Amino acid sequence: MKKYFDDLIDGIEQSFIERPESKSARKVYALNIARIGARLYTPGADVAWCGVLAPFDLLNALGVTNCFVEFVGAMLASTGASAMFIEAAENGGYSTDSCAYHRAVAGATMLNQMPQASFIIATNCPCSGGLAAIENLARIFNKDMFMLYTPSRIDEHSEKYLTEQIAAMVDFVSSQVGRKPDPARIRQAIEYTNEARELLVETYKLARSTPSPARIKDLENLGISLALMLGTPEGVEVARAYRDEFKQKVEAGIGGVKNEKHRILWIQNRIQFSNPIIRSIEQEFEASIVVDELNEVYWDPIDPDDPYPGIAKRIMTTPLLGPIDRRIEQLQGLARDYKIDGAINPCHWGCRQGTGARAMVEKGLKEVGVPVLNLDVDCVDSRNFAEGQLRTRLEAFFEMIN
Amino acid sequence: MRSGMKQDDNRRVAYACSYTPQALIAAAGLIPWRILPTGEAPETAGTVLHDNLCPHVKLIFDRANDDSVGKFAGVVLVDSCDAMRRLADAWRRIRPDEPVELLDLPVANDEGSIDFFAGALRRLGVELGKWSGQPIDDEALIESINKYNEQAELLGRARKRFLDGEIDAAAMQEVFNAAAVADWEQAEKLAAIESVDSSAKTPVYLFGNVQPHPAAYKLFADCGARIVEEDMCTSARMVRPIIIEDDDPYRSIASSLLNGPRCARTIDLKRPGAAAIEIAEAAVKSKASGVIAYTMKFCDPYLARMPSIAEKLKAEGLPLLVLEGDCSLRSLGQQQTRIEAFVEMIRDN
Repeated sequence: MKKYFDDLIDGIEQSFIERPESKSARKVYALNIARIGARLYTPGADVAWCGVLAPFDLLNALGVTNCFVEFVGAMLASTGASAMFIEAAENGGYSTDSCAYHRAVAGATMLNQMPQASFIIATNCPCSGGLAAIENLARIFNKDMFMLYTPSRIDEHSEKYLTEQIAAMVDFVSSQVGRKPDPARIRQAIEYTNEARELLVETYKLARSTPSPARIKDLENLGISLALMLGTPEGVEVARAYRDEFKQKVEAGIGGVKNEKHRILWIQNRIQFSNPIIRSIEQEFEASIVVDELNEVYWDPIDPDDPYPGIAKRIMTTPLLGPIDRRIEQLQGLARDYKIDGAINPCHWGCRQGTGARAMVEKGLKEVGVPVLNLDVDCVDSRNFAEGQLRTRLEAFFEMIN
Repeated sequence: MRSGMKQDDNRRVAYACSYTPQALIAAAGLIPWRILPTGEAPETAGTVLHDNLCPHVKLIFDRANDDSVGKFAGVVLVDSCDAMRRLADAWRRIRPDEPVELLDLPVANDEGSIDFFAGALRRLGVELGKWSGQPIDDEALIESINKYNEQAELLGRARKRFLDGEIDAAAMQEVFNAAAVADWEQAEKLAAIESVDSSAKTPVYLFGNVQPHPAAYKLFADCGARIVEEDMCTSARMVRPIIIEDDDPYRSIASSLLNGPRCARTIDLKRPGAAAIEIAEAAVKSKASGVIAYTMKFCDPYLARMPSIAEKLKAEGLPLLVLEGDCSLRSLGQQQTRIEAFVEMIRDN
C-alpha cells in the first residue's frame, strides 16, 4: 500500500513538472490524498483511527497522524482492490448485509493491511455500523478508545455536551501522545480551517454558475476527504486550487461538462470504484454534478481563541444528524441554490441511516419539483455492480427530466 | 400493580426499546406500552422506509400504519440505532397528530454519559408532563420508580423460575409480553403457572435481540433445545431495576439503564468488545452445551459484533448457531432443520 501511494505521489508530481498545464485542482487534491495514504502506511506510523466526524483539524494541531476508517474502504474500492478484503471479512463472519465500507475495513484488518492504531476516537454519528467498526478496531488493536458522542437532538444542551467532550478529547489525546496541547498550534490550525472554509464557500458558490465549472468528478468526496486536511496548509492549498480554477472557468464561461444540459445534485456518497456510469452521466446525458450534498459548508467560521464550541457546532451541522426533515430542508435548499434539475441517490446497500430514509428524501425533493433517481448500488463492493440495470434507470431518468 | 387496560386507553405511550425509561413515563400518569413486532398488519413499511432496515422497525411501522395499535398519547423512541431514528421520522409522517420524542441514548456508560442522559431524561419528563397535563416532580418520580421496581421484581421472579427450571422459556415470554403492554394482572397470573417442557434436554444459551413469540421457544424445545439462560431484548433485558442514588431520580434512571443489561449497541469504553466477553461468560456460567444467537436481519450492532462473539465462544469450547430472522415464527420455522442438527451436534458437548 505504501508503494501504491508513493508511486501515485511521484506520478502526479512528475506530471506537474513535465506538463504544468495539467495541474488541475483535482490533481492537487489527489496528490494530497495520496500523501495522507502514504503517511498512514508508513511503517511505524501509529494512526489515530477515528469516526467520520472527529475534529481532524484539532488532531492535526496535536501532531497526530489520523484518519477516519471509511477512508480505507473508499481507497481500496478506488484502487479496485476492495473485493479481496470484503471477501476476507465475509469469510471471517461479517455479514453481507452490513456496510461494505466497514467490511472492507474489517477485511483489511484481518489481512494486516490496516495500519496499526495508536488510539481510537469513536463517533456515533453518522451511523451505528461505523461505531461498531471502530469498536472492533479498538478491540483488535487493544488500544484506548475515546467516545465522541453526538446527540441527535440539535439544541444548546447537545452543543454544550459536545463542547465538553471535545475538550476531554484533547486531554485524552495529550495523555496518549505524552505532550500537552500547544495553544498556538491549535490557533494556527483553526485559522487554516477558517481560511479553507472561506475558499470552499467561494468554490461552491462558483459551482452554482451556469454552466457549472465542475467536471463530473471534481466534487467527488471533496468535502469528506478535505476534512482530513483541515487545520493544515495543505487544506488551504487544495481549497484555493479549486477556488482559483472554478473562478477562472466561470470568468471564461467554460463549463465543466460540455453542453451542460442537466444539473444534478448527488446525494450522500459517490460510488467509490471506477465505473462507466459516471462518464455516461457526463458524456451521454450531458449532465453536470454541480453539488454533492456532503461537500456543502453548513458551518460558520470557528473562533481560533475558543475553538471547541465552534467545532461542536460544526459537527452538529452534518446533514446526517437529527431528524430527516432537517436533512430534507438542506437538500431542498441545495436544489434551489444550485438550480438543480434532478438528484441522484446511490442507495448504498447496508446504509441504514441514509438508504433507510430514501423514500422520505425522495418525497421531500419532489415537493420542490426535483425528481430523484434512487440507484440500488453498493458504493464500495463492485462485485454485484449491475451496469446494465443502472444504465436503464439512468436513461429513463434523464429522459424524464429532458 | 396496574391492572390490564384497554388498547384505546389514551394514556398509553408507545415505546419499542428496553432502554425506555418506563418509570418516567408512568410518573407523568401515562402508561408505557411496548409495541411488539407481532400481528398481521399489512406490509407497508417499504413505502416510507427502506427494505434494508431491520424487521423490528418495519413491523412496528406496519402496525402503526394500520392503526391496529390504536391511538397513543405520544411515542417515546430511543436513539439506540439508525433504524430507530428512521422509525421516529417515519412515525411523524404517518401519525402526525401524535407527539414523538426521540430520546438520546449515549453509547457508553461513563459518568459524563450518565450525566448527559440524566439531563435528556429531565427534558423528556417535561414533555411527558405536557402530554398528560401532569407535570412530574421528584417525589412522583421516586414513587413511580418504586412501583416500576416492583414490576421489575415480578419479571425477575419469572426469570428466576425459568432459570430454576420451574417454568420454560415460552411461559416466561408470555409473562414478559403481558408486562410489555402493561397487563400486569395477566403478567402476575402467568408468572405463577406451572409449565415445564421436560422433553427438551440439551441445554442451550440464547442471546440476541427481538423475539416476542412464545411459540418460538416451543420450537426450540421441539428441536430438543432447553433454553437454560437467555439475553434477549424482549425478555431478560426488560428487567432493569432502578437503583436510586444521591436523591437524583433522573440520574438514578440514567445510571441504571446504561449500566443495566447490555444491548450490543452499548459500549464499555474500558473494554471494547465487552458484549462478546459478557455473552461468553454468561454462556459458560449457564452450563449450556451450545449457544444460539437469534438476531434480526440488518441489525448492525449485532452483525458487527458477531465475529468477535463467535471467537470468544470458540475459545470457551462452545459451539454457536447464528440464526437471522424477521421476528416472525415463519422465518424461524424455516430454520428448524438447522436448529435440530445443531442440537444433535452439541448433545454430548
